[in-house]
Amino acid sequence: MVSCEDVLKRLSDLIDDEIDSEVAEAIKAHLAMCRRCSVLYDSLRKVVIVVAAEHTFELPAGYSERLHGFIDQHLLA
Amino acid sequence: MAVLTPVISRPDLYEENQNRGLIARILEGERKLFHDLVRPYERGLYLAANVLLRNHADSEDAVQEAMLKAFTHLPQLTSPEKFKSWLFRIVINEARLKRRNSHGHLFESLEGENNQAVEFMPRNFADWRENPLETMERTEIREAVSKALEILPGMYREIFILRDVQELTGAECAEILGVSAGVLKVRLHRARLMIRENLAPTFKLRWYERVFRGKGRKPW
Repeated sequence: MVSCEDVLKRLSDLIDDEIDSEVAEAIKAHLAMCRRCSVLYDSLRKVVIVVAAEHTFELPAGYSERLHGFIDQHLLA
Repeated sequence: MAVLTPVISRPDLYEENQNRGLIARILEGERKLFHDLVRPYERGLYLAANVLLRNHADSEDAVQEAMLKAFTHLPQLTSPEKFKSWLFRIVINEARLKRRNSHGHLFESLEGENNQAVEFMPRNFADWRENPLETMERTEIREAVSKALEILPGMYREIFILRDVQELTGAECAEILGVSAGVLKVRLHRARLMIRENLAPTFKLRWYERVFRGKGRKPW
């Protein structure tokens, strides 16, 4: 039987699918029974989804043009 | 019994081959292709620099400096398939150098070192219910994530940006940051837990607000 503490340490491994299937099953069984851990898992997964979304981080206007202008001027001239 | 080999799609292999071809042509004289070589990474490079420097102008400078170094040292790159992690390593080093020179990070780095040995314990267990991407405005999300990142020590911010925002592999991140796979895993997990904790006050409320706002009722 895995404890909440064990589960807490492995949540990222579960999200990234970097975990033995046997351990994953034990953790999933724990999540099905423990509200706190399942809330934690769910919200942690949502963090990863939210930050990976293309529009979550904004770049300054004109950044790409300035960068390629710099390359033309300083590297390729 | 015949063993079927599964066909696995490997976009990373395609990218590596593409880069190898571009680098060979650049070194043979088609220098303009340097634009194409770096274009897929320009967004990630900026974010990697900005997460450490937190200043637009300095971040752009760091990326430009990194371009200069990458272009100059391209002939010495012994493994062209590792171009991507090599380029990110250069920009991270540039950003770290700039940060060291600015002195603004001193308190932050001490905090990071002291926290190293302490296990991070989540405190907020409120249910988020829905995917914030579906219930919140982009600008609200952007602001909340940026604030949540801001209070993280630098070493957690950089791993978080590389792995979760840029979606580089664990091996690539470990190589860029010069840490072992084990250290990387621990840092990434702590970074995610801390970000989650910082975002919780904003994200957990959305469900109540959406349901009760406009109906003249309050959720308490």
